[in-house]
Amino acid sequence: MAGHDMLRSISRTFKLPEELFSGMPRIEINGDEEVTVENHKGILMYEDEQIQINGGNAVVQIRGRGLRLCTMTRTILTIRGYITGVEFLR
Amino acid sequence: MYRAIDFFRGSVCIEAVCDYPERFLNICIQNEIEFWNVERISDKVIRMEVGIKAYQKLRALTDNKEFHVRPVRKKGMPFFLWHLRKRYVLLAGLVLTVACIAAYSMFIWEIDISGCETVSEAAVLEAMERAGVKIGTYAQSVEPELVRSRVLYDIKELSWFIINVHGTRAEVIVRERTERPELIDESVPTKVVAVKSGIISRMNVYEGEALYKVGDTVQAGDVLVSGEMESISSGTRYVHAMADVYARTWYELSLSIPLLYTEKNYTGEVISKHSLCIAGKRLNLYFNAGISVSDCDKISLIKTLRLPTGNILPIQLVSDEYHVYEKVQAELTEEEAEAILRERILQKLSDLTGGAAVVSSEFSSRESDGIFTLTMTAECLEQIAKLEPLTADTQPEMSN
Repeated sequence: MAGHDMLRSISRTFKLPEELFSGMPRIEINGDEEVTVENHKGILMYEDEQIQINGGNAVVQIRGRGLRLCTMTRTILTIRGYITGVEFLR
Repeated sequence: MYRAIDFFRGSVCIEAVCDYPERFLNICIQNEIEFWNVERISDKVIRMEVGIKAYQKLRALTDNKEFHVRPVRKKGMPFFLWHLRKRYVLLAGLVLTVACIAAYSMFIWEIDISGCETVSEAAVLEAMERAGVKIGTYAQSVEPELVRSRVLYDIKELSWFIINVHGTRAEVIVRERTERPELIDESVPTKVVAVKSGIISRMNVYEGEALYKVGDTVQAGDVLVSGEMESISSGTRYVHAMADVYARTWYELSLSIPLLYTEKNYTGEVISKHSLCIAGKRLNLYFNAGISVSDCDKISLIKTLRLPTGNILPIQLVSDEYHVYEKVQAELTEEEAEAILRERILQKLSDLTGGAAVVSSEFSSRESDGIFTLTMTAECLEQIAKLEPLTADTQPEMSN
């Protein structure tokens, strides 16, 4: 973790995109209907009301109703549905 | 757009059965298998859509027995064609349609001309046809430079011409030549003569010696302003005489019209004959080309078929309508005859005087043996001056 913290502080110092060095996912939320996760490491749980995504340093848990994985590539995935919460599980 | 692309690429809706569907998704990503519209059916079943190549790759991956993939639905153009592979006639029809569309797109079916002011579009179209470009011309054979040269040579009024072929449409832009003003050669000695007889009412002499004054009566051919000027110091000198001379002129015009005439009385019967015009070739949609009546007016309605996108198709629906009429004798009242003749006489006077102002006019009429005659006496104010070169017996040398 110390290594990640150092990379994060370096990227902040030089104003570089943190997600490139910290290994953390970049999450974009459009209203309560769509979540896009970049830099993911795969899916850990896939259910209608809950999707867990391996984000490297943390697990990103998306909760809601009628959740569906719309597109997924090696680096990016998009989830649509009625989203009630996005949280990190450590 | 994406749906259209998916349709042409084709896609397979599959169901994957495995203990951990999440692991199946991760395996897909690791093997670069793209998928979309993922739906969890049950604890062990997941449904998704994949491309055709991805589906083949997935089937190869099922060898490890960790998961089982079964197709639910196949959709898209490749599967549609695959189903047609044994239906030769349908397939041939499809190929023929595609070939027709491809062939259709190789010819010009619409010519759009812009920029015509005095030159008619029909004249430009005719010149283009002589240059080898018309409806139905093979688009690749059009040589814009050659067409431009020929059209500009044919129509002298045009100064600029360009043709751009966009698919099946030829866009033609023209610009007309500005008329060069007529130059007056003031080195030629001239005189001003009267072209009509009348009483001079206004006279503006710019050069030369006036031989008449306002109020004088002149005959056609009289010299109004002489180009031969006498001077005490330098003797006779010859100039380019110029003048505006307005005179009161009188006209008496008569026109006649018979009061009895033959009129068309339409019976309401309309005979319609339809035909198709495909790429200039007419195809009649009827068997009997003749019509039984002799007295009829023919009206042709041509409807050019277009695609929903606005593109013109080389197919025209031609409807020939024959409106049947009977010839009946009718009689004009004197008022109607006078109104008709009055309009014709005024037009004739305008043609004679070149649109000169009519100061006053009187009409008288008479009817004899069914012929109505209208006579007009009119007084006009018009320009009567005309330039003529000095006659041979005068000195043709100019003096300043």
